[in-house]
Amino acid sequence: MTRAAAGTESVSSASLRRALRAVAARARAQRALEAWVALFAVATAVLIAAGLMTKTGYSLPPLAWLAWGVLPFAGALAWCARPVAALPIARAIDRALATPDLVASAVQFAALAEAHRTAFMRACMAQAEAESARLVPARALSFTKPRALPALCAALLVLIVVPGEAALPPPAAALSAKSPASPAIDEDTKQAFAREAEALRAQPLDPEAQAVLDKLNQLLEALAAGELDRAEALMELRRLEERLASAVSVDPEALEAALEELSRALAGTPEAKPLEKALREDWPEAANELEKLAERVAKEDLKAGAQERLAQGLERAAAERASSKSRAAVDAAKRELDRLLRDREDPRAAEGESGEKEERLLKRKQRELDQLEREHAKHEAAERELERLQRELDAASKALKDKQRQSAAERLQDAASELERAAQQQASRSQAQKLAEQLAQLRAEIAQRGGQQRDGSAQEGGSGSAVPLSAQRFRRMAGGQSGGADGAGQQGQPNQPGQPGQPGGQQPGGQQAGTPGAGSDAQHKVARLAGSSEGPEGTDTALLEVPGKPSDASGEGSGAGLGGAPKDGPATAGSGQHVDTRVEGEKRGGPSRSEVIFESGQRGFASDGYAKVHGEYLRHAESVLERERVPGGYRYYVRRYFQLIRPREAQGAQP
Amino acid sequence: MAEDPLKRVEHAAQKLAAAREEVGKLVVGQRDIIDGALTCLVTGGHALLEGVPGLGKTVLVRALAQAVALKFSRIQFTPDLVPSDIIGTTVIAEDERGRKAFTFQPGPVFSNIVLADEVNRTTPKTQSALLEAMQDHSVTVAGTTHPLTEPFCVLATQNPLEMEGTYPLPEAQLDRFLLKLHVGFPSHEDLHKILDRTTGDGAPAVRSVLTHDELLAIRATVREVAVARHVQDYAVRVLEATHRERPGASALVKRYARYGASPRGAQACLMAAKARALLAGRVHVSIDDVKAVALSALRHRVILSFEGEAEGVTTDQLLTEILTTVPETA
Repeated sequence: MTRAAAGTESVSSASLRRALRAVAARARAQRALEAWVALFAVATAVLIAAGLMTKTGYSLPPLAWLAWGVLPFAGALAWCARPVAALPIARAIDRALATPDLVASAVQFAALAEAHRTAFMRACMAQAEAESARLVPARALSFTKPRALPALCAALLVLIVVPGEAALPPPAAALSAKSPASPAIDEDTKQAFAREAEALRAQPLDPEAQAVLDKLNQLLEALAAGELDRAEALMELRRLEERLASAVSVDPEALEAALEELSRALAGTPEAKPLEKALREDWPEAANELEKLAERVAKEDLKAGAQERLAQGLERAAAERASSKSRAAVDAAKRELDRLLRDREDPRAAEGESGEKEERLLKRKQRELDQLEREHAKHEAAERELERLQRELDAASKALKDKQRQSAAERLQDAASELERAAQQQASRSQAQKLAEQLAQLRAEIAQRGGQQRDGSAQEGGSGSAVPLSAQRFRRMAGGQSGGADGAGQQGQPNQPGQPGQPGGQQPGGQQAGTPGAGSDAQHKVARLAGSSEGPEGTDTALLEVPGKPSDASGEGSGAGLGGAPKDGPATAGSGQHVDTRVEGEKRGGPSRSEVIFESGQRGFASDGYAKVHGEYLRHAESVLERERVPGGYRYYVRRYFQLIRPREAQGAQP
Repeated sequence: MAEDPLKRVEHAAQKLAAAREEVGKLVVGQRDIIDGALTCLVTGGHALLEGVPGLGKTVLVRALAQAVALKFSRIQFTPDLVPSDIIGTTVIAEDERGRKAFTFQPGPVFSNIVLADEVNRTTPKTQSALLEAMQDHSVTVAGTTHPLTEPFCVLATQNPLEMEGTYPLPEAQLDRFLLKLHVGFPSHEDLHKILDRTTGDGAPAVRSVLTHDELLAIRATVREVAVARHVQDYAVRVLEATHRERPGASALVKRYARYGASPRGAQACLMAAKARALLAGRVHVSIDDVKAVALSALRHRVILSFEGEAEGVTTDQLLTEILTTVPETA
């Protein structure tokens, strides 16, 4: 550390060299201190920035902490090792000794060849040597406070005072955080889903569905905060849907169908009439009826003939077996898949068709088969539940035949308990089903916002029919629209009374959004738009019914799906006693796109210029719709938008 | 000359200090002006003293000539002065045997110290007659060159106020002056001293403390004073900074300077710095010496632009800015 300053090698005077070396050492030390403080401040700032950017708090890898501590030292040492120029050192000595430029000149003269030195130069060097003997290095160069010290203090203060865990989100959440600037859903959508989730939580739910609901809430928070991008959100949603699907192990439709058949088996038994009816409509009530029946049997309330009829009815019910259509569907799908596999292996058959097309078909069939097998497993689970009930009914029937009324009553009680348990499970399954619908809606919402809703999404089953919540809001704000394919009303006008529904009418909203492409329609849920009207001046409302009933046959349709079945039943009788209540928010400067559309549609535009512009834009939009592959539902939105903003005088004409 | 440099410098410094003391008997204050005059004397240069009348310029020069025991002549420059009045002329002279011949009659310039009083009042033709004498230390009359006796030093004065009927010195002639010294107005205390000394019954006598030979020896010593490269580099950078087209020129110079100082300015700067070091008894020149003499050595060599003159900017302002902005070490 006592290396001489650069350029002082030729200084022959010992005292001068010593003085120069001492001051150079102090200069190096000061320089190292400056460098260390500056580098440490920078390293601390980088550390804080890294913590903020990665959102991992200060849970940085040990290497980062090591670099934070070591790199400034290394930098300071490297800086310290750099040579120190002799001239500033010599001038510092001159300042300390009050000998202006004596030592500096002597150092310069020492660098000259001996022959070039004049007598005055030598005299100068001798004078410098004599003067340097009285040098106190500290006076020549005193240590000063590093300039970067305030910056370092500030950085350390930030590092220490602001605790990483409090200031930053937890690492687990941070790992999935991507772009806070672009939330996949807005606050309104999040609130809407949150309300739905709360409503679900109010009803009984099985633990697994409850867990999925909790996860959904977390997902909504993360989405609204922009911590997840769309791709991650869609993946998470898929995981939740799979989890929920695995949780719902029993096919509720199958169970319902089986109980209906059980009800029909009891049809000829007057003593079980209330039970028969309740089995079709209300399972908890059916359990009550079964308990009442057990009490009557136990109290010998039934005559011998009645007991006999009841025993026979229970025996028929116990013998009833639900037709296993699901098994047949699985078998048919398996046979089809086997045939395709054989065809692929057959070179003669392969020549006829494109290999790529065949491969696609094969994959689709495989997916269908998997789906059907899952459904069949649920169906079998439903059958097992029914079997337990039937075993109790069978035992009760035998006990009645053997005149063992007490035993029969107990068996009937057990059957009632089984039925009650099934009823509870059914309720929670219904809730789980709603939860699944909500997940599908959220998925559609995210996909629509990201423009990522692909045509093939319907192939996954069930999700293609989900209409985003924002789309529903749009429809509501659009002022109502007509219903299903044969559904009712004409186009409703915003805030204007609609026309009563006319069966068989055509409407622009009859197409289903996002369902082109072949889909496994076993679970294909069809969006059904049902129009309803109330009274002579009733307001048309567009009701979106999601999901529809699963189709029994596997469909292979392509293109936009058609509307659902017309709503059955007579039109609502107009009582004329309704009260229109219109809730109107205060108009403010908030970002409400629908407000703009509403205002434009309501009042129209003043100039003819707008009509011209509207026409040009509409024509352009139509040409793009013709040219590009746009999902049917989206075509509808585009046309509907132009319809809403059309000039007042052209409102009668369809765009 | 083989004597110890330190002793030589010490001796020179003592002698010059004595001369300064003697001049100081007549001239109250004006330390810088006295040092400037001494500097010119020991470096072989010439000085232009600028100041209003009555500040003691002539007294200073006369006292200096007395202190160094040199031949002194004073030329009062007037518009009707002709060159021969200064440098001399040939006249017909008759010898002992009655033969007549042209002989050279030297003018007042043939002195060691020439006081050119109000040099800007004479015509350029006459001013230029002085030019050869100042530059070459010789005069040519009728085809014959007559060397001037060394040391030769011109101390010219001019009045900055009365510009009517004057002939401002051209740049070429200004460049011949080593220093341009501004003679300032004395302070309150100095005014009292001046009155005390000049209104009494007798003026103080100036002793001669420096012989002709001693002065020549000092002249030789001045040139030997050592200059380190970094000091010389500083002088060069200061000079470069006066040129508006150079990279180191300041905004003020770029705006108000038309021409910067010539290389002769750097020479003057360094020689004056050497003299200053010698006056201080040092064998080497410091940057402080360069800084101290830079104003008087360069102020008359920097030419202002029209804009600078119109706005009343002085070359001193430019140089002061240069001296504060140019770093001492590169």
